[in-house]
Amino acid sequence: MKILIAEDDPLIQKTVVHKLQKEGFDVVPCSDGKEALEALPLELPDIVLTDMMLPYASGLEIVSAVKKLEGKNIPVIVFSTMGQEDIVEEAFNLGADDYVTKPFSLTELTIRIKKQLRRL
Amino acid sequence: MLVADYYRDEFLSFIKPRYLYGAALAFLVITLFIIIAIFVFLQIKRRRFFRKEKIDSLLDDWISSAIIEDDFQHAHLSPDLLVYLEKARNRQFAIDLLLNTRKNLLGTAADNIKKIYEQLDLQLDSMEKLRSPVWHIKAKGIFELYMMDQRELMDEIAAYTNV
Repeated sequence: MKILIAEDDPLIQKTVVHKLQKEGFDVVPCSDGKEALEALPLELPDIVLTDMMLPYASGLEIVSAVKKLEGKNIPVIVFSTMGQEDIVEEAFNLGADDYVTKPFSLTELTIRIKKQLRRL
Repeated sequence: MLVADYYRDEFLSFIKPRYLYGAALAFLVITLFIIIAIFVFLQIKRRRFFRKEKIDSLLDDWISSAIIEDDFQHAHLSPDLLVYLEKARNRQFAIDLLLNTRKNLLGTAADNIKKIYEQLDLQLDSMEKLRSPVWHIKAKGIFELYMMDQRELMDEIAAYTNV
C-alpha cells in the first residue's frame, strides 16, 4: 500500500515516514504542496496524508486535486492544529475523509490510516 | 587665492603618468584582494552550510528513528553527532527540534522525545537558562523544562510563580 505524505516539518515528516515504513507501507514523502501536487498523478497513492498549512500550495488544494483524480477514490487524512476547525470543515466539504489534530499519537494515526484502507 | 593655487599645483603634481600607474596598480591589487577575500569567505560559508545541512539531516534521521521505537532505552549516537552536540549552539538546535516535535506528538513518541532530551543531557542547558539573571533567557529555560516534563525542578520553577 502506497501512502503520500505532505508535511513541511522535516522531523515530523521523517518520524511519520519511519513509523509507516515500520508498519510495512510504501511511503512517498513531500515537503511542500507543489511537490505533493506534482507527485500525486505520478505516484497514484492508495491514501494521502496532508498538513493544512504547506508552502506553495495548501492542504486544501491537495484535497481538491486528490478528489478530482478521475476513476480514483483515494482517501485523504488531513493534519490540523487546534483552532483550525474552519479549515478542517472546508477540507471535509472538498472531500477529505478524516482528520488528525496535532499533537497526535503515531499509533492513532496508523489506526486511522488502516481504517481508511479497509474501506477500499 | 594663493592657498587655492597652492593646492591646485600640489594636486596637479600627482597627476603624472608615473603616479597614475602606481595608483592604478595599487587599486588593482586592493580590488583583487577584496575579490579573493569575498570568494574565500563565501566558500567557507558554503562549506559550513552544507556540513550543517548534512548533520541536521543526520540528527533528524537519528531522532525520528529513536522516537518510533516502542521500547526506547539508550541513545546511540554516531561520532559525527557527538562532536556536533559538543557546541552549545548545536545543542540549542537539538533542543528546539525536540521541543517542536514534542508539541506535535503524543503517547510513546512524546515519551521517547523526553528520554532523548534527558540522555543527551540537554536538561543541563535548560537549567543553565533557568539560572540566568536575564529574564527572557530564564523564561525560555522554564518553558523548555516544562515542555520536557522535568518535574524534579518543579520547586525551583515554583519560586518564580505567584502561586
